Parts: sequence; C-alpha cells; structure tokens
Amino acid sequence: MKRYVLIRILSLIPLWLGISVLAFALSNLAPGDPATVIAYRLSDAPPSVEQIAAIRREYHLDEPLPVRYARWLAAAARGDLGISYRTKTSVLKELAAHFPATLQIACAALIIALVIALPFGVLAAMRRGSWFDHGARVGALLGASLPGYWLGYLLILIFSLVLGWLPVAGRDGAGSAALPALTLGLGTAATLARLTRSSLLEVLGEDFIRTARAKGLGEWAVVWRHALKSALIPVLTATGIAFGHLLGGAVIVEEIFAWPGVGHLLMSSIYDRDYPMIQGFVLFMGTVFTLLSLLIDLSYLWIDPRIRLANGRRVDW
Amino acid sequence: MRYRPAHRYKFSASCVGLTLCLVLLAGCTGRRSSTEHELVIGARADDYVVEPLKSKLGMYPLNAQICEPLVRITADYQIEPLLAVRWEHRGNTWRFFLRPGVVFSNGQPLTSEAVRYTFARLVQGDRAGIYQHIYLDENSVSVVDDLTVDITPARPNERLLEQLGHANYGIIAPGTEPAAEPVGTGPFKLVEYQRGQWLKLERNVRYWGQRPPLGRLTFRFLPDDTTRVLALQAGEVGMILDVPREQAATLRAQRGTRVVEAPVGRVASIFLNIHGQASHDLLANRNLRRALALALDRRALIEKVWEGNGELVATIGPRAMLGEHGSMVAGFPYDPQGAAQLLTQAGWTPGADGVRVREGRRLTLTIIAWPEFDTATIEFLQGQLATSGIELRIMRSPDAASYQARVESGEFDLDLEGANQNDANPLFLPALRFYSKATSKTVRYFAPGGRFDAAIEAGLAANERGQVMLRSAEAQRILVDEEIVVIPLAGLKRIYAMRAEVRGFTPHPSLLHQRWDTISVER
Repeated sequence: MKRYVLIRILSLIPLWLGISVLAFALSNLAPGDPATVIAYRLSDAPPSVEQIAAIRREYHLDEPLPVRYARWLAAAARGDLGISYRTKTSVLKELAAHFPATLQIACAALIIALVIALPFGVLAAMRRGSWFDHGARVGALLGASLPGYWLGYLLILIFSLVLGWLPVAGRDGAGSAALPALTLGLGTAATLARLTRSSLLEVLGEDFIRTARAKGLGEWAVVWRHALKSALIPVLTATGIAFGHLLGGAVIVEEIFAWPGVGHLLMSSIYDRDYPMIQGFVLFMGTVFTLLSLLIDLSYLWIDPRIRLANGRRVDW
Repeated sequence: MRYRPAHRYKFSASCVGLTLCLVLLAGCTGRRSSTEHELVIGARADDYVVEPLKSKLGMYPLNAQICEPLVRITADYQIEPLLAVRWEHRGNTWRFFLRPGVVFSNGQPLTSEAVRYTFARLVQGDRAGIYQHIYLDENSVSVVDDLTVDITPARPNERLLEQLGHANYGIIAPGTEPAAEPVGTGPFKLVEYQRGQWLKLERNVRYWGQRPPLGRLTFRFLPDDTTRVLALQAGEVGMILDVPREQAATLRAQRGTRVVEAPVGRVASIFLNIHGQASHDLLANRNLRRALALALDRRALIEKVWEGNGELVATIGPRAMLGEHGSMVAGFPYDPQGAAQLLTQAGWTPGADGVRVREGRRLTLTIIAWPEFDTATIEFLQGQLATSGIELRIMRSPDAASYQARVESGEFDLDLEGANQNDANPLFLPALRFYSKATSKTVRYFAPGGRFDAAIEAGLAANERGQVMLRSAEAQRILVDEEIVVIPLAGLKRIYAMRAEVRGFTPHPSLLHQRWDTISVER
C-alpha cells in the first residue's frame, strides 16, 4: 500500500515537468508581446521602440526562451512561481488570494450537482422507460448542452431580474455565490445524473442483486443497501474529475459574474500576457488536478472491497 | 465491505440540503440598495496599474476624480484652470500659479512642492521612459514659491499645457503613493479599492470647489457587457458605462432607464499600410487607396450596422480639435462607380468570381481590427468592397496583445482602429501615428512624410492654439484627402445608461475627463 502510494506520487514528477513545459510554451509562443502590453497600460499612447526595449530588459524578456524556462523551473521547484508582470506581486500570493473564491463556487456547484444528479439518476434507473426517465434524459441533455454563459444569463434573468432574490454579479455576501454555483452545478449535474443512471442499471442486472431480490428485499432496499455503493464508483471518479474541471474551468462563468476567482485572474493575465501568472496558473491547476486524481485513485482502496493491493501491485478481482 | 446504515445517507442529504437552503436564503439578503446620496456605477474591467511609482489608481484608465491635474480639458477640448488659476509661457518654461486655499483630502495644503513631488515620482517610475512624450526629466520642475512652480521640459514642448490636462498628471499629496492610497484634491476621496471588484469613494469634505451632491460613489467592475446591462436592469447599479451598441435600443425602450450618448471623442478609421512589404504592397498605389475610400458607404455603416450610434466625420479625431479649420478636411463621398472606374483605369479587371485581377494577381487585401470592433462591422466593410471587386481577407485578433503584435509585424493592408483623443493637443493623433519622426513602432507603415511632416513640425513649433489647429487640419487634409493614408469611417459615441433618477450627468467625449461630481440621484 505505502509503496503503491509512493510510486503514484513519484509518477507525478514527470507529469509536472510535462505540465511546466506546456505552460511555458503555450504562454510564450502565443502572439503578443508582454512588453508592449505593459507599455500601453502605463501610458495612453503607442510606445516607442526604446520604451518597449527597456521593458523587455526589465522583465528579462530579452533572454533566450530556454534560459527563461530553466530559471522559472528552478524557482518553481523551490515554490516560487515568480512575480506577476501586472501586479508586481508574487504569483503564488495572487493565486492564494483568488483560489478561495473559486473553491467556494466549485464546492457549491459540486454540492448542487450531486444533490440533483444522484436522486434523479437513481430514480431514472429504478423507473427505466417511464415518463420520469424520459424527462430526466431530456433534462440531462439540456443541462449538458446549454453553454455556461447562456445559462448564466438565463439564471440572472430569473433570479435577479424577475424574482429579485439574488445579486447579478460580484462577490459581496454569501448569496452572491448562488448563481455562479448554480450555473456551474447544473451542467455538471446533467453529466453525473446520466452516469448514475447507467451505472446503477448495470449493477441492477448483476447476480448479487438478483439474489437480494430473491431474498424478498424491497426494490428500495435493494438499491440503497446493495446496488448504489457499487454503482457510485464510476460516479465518484467522474465527480473527482468534474471537481477538477470546476476548479480550473470556471473561467467564463467567473467572467460573466465578475467573480474574483482564479478563472477571472487567468483571463486578465492572458489579455495582459502576464507570463508568470499564466504559467503559475497552469502549473498550480495541473498540480491540483493531478493530486485530485491521485486522491480518487486512493479512495478506491477504501470504497471498493474488490480492489486490494498485493505486494505493491494493484490487483482487481 | 462494512455496511453503512441508510440513516447516514439521510443525514448527509439533510446537510447538503440545509447548506443549499442557507446559500439561497443568504442570497435573498444580498441585494444592495442605494440612498439618494449614493450611486453605484457599473464599469468595465479593472485596468488599474497598482505597481508602486507607476500606479495611477483612480486616475487612469478610469478617472474617479480623486486627483486633479493643473488644468481641465472641457467637452470642446479647450483648456481651463483647475489647480492652476493661471499660467505664463516663456521660452520653454511654463510657470503655473496654483489655486490658493486648496487642501488634499488628508489635510495637507496644495503647494508647489506637491507638483514637484508628483512629477518627480512619474519620472522616477519611468525606467522605461514612458513619459518621454511630454519630455519631462528629474530637473524639469522647480519650485518658485509656495504657490508658483516652473515646468521646463527637457526638450522644447509647446504642447505641454494641452497635455497636462490628461488624468495621468493628477497632482498627489507629497509623501503619498497612489499604489497604496491615492490622495488628491478632487471632489471624491478613496474609501476602499478591491482589485477587480470595486472602487469605493466618498465626498471629499475638504474639496475647494462646489461639493458633489453624491455622498458616496462606487465603481463596480463588471467586465461582461451583458452582465453590466442586466445589473442596471436589476437595479443593482444606477448607471453603466460603455453600453454595447446593440443593446442601446432595448435600454432606450425600457421605462425608468435613460440612455445618453457622449459627443464624438474618437473616430473609427481605416489606416492604410502604404509601405507594406511583399504581399502587402498593393496600397502603395494612391489610385487604389482612392478607390477604397470611394467604395465605402459610411452612412449605411452607421445606420444599418451601428443602429445610428455614430456620426459622419472626415477627420481622424474629434472635429472640435480643429475648431473652425475642421472644414479643411473634406473626405470622400460614397461613389462605387467612381471606385470601379479608378480600378479599371489602374488595370484591375473583374475576374470570373467578381474579384478584380491584374497580371494574374487578385485584388485581395488583408484587414486587421482592434478587437473592440465587432464582426458585423468588418463583414459590412467586406461586403461593401466586394461590390467594387475588392476581396477583403479578415484577420481577427482575439485580444489587444495579439492585435498589437499583428500591427507591429506589418502583415496587413488595412487596419481598423478607433483612437481616443484624451488630451487637448490638436496634433496628438496625427503626430503620434503618422509623423515619420515619431517613436511609435507602427509609424513606419503609415507615415506619408514630405508635406505632412512639414505641417506637423510647423504645428509642434507654434505657440498659438489657433495656429496649431490650422496645422493639424492641414496635416489631416494631406492624410485623408491627398495621400489617403487613412479613411475616417465615423465618429464613435460612448453610450451611457442610467436609472431615470440619475440627474446632472453631462457626457464628455473622453471618458478620462468625465465628471462625476455633478451627478445627483433624485427620488
């Protein structure tokens, strides 16, 4: 067990290296010069060649890419993600300042998604082919197909303009998280509900369920006591991945709701070609995502009795 | 497998439900209300620089009237006294006489030392030479007495007074740093700045002029255009800046909402790459440039695409900048037949698909555009030119940085821009973008040189404002009518929307000079 965990953690190192190369290459190879952007932000006129050259020197942008990458990577290995071009503050501090806001709506969205997805998925599976199943399928299709920005505007129209219950945008009071969380949560709920349904249907067809029914157990008892736990394993995996997406992929929703999370930060950093911030974000989110995946993998050991480790080797039976 | 009793699930479900209910209930108390002394304004993204020595928090790019410059730029781009009551100009030195009795919001008196401190800080933060264009260095400002200060640019600069009205040159209290807290003499003072969220202000009770009717003023940063409109409709903000053109009509029709257009402060223009290399060298031909100018129906663009939110202009900046000399620039009428005739004379004959061809080369031009211009505008231009046999290849840039990179590369024929006029210098735009000795990286694609440069140099050396306007008009006539380096399309009007209770708002053509201290909210 310990060996397995150690191997899994060590296997993250080449993954992080790959992420770092991607993060550095993607931000540095995109068209646009941060020195020009900085010059425009400081003044109100197109900058001169000399002004841009001076900024390039100041930010070490005149050095070759491999040198800059090596310097950045060495610092990142020490936990220093650099200084933001835009704010002149530590990238790590910026991420730490914005991450709680993203975490807040991601957690709320996940709760909303699970609260909707699990009952709907279970009921749809139990009443397969009924009007409820068809309705849930249409609902899930809609939820998965609606673009986040459109759903966001729709929710603002309903909850802010028509009902007047919730604020339109910003992070000012607990209620301000409701709409961005709902926007994110509904899309995720659709996917999880479909997965719950199909997974439960598969389990309900297995032998041990037939045995449980033969023992005279009612349908609810069969589902709750026997089927659901097995059926939830793929849902758990999908939930973990969805949570990673919610943390890193809330960019559009954060922009619509002026939500000061890391997605909002990323957008402004991309516009400003704030390389250290973009690189830091990708590396940070990559780390969060890989650690989340690791946690999900490890959680199987606890949840599923069929999965055991023998001599550091994973065995499924 | 350990059996987990069903009540554990019930408990978890209850917790989740309770959490949701709390979140939603808390939301019911999340609505903001405003009193008659308070106004919340929905602004675009927060673009303030907060780096020490370079920060212009509260000044640029959104001027919240915390700090005031020495002079004010009026809506017709005239200069009027602000912190300086008068000034004298001798040689290359400008002597400013400061307004007596003015104090900063922290109680410090306004003295010449504050002016010296303000400009010293700007120069000190100028490691990259950003302030080169007003030519100030560390020795430029000298204190004569408490209320008299001399400013002597490092190079002759007759346009200094017109430049100093820019919000970048707001005077700050000695010893303060705007990155931490801007302390100025303006009608408002900073209460709280939350980056990317809001800038909260309150009335400066020490203000030397008429105190603003608003006790509190908040700028909320709402980068998404539609969200800003929805926030106004929901009553969450009392006013919004930069209303999307396509939503102006809807807001106008809505009861309780007022839409106000500012006078033209910038002009949408097509800049022509007349010094392009290889595949972008077609516009070296003046007749082709003239044909382009004739082939565009600007009126239709304003009426059909912009829903009337524009104004026909012939100049590259607000016409007020040229005074009575504005009529010197004629522009071109819409004359597709004339355009076709010019193209045929130049040897461009229609090909099988309607696109003109000469010696096997198709008449294809590449257009790039400042990201703010929507696809509808560019596709309209494409359609217009297609009727004259000119094929337009659209190269859209997703953001300002990639657009700037493309302009600097010179890989384009046409460049759609809309430059703001934010100071009172009539030569600002023509000199900055087209003068061959300008330091801008992109000037090499547009500079016509010769008589244009001579007109700019005469204007730069002139010390009488009427003369400067005349020289600027001459220069623009050369640019627009003779050399056809730029085709002004239409004057752009900034659109504001507000609740009907908002009174006293007078739009300025430049957002940077917009006054908030005249606004009141009446129930």
